[in-house]
Amino acid sequence: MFGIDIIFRIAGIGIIIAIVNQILKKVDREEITTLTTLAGVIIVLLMVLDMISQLFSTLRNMFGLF
Amino acid sequence: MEIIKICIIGVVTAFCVLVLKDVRSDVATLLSIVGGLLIMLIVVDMLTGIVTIFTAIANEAGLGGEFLSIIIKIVGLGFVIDFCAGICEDTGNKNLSEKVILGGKIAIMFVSLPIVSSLFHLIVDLL
Repeated sequence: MFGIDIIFRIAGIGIIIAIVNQILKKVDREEITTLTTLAGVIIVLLMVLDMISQLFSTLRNMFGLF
Repeated sequence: MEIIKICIIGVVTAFCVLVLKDVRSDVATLLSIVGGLLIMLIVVDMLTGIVTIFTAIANEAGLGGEFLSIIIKIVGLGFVIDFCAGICEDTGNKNLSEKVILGGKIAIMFVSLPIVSSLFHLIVDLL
């Protein structure tokens, strides 16, 4: 279900953020770079949260933890 | 078979983190966490297989049901604690991971209280 593609996707997002920030620096729009960085990190966080919730639900069903 | 998948994910994540380290350091730490998460997901599947077999054997042999569930709960707790402590250490704050580990030890201690009390009663009856 999850494979290495997720890792490449997140690495791609990181590289895209870096490129967009470089472009924004060239166009003298420094203030937008913080927004793009924030957007990229939030997207990656959403993917990570989705996987963590699946891991914890498996653990809950199997081990009866919480 | 799974071990090959785990090794590949580990190596690929390590190199992607290297690439991203200087470009975007925050996404790099997130990437290492996701790599650990992927390996954890595979390991959890294997672990559930082990646990089901253990419970089946225990039920057949008629061993102490509640003790086995406590043991399985402790295994699960150890799994979660190690995962979260690893994440805290990845992001660099070491004392946070030690707090998580301390909390985990106390949680395990708390879960295993019934065993301690039943052991105590057993000894008292013997004497």
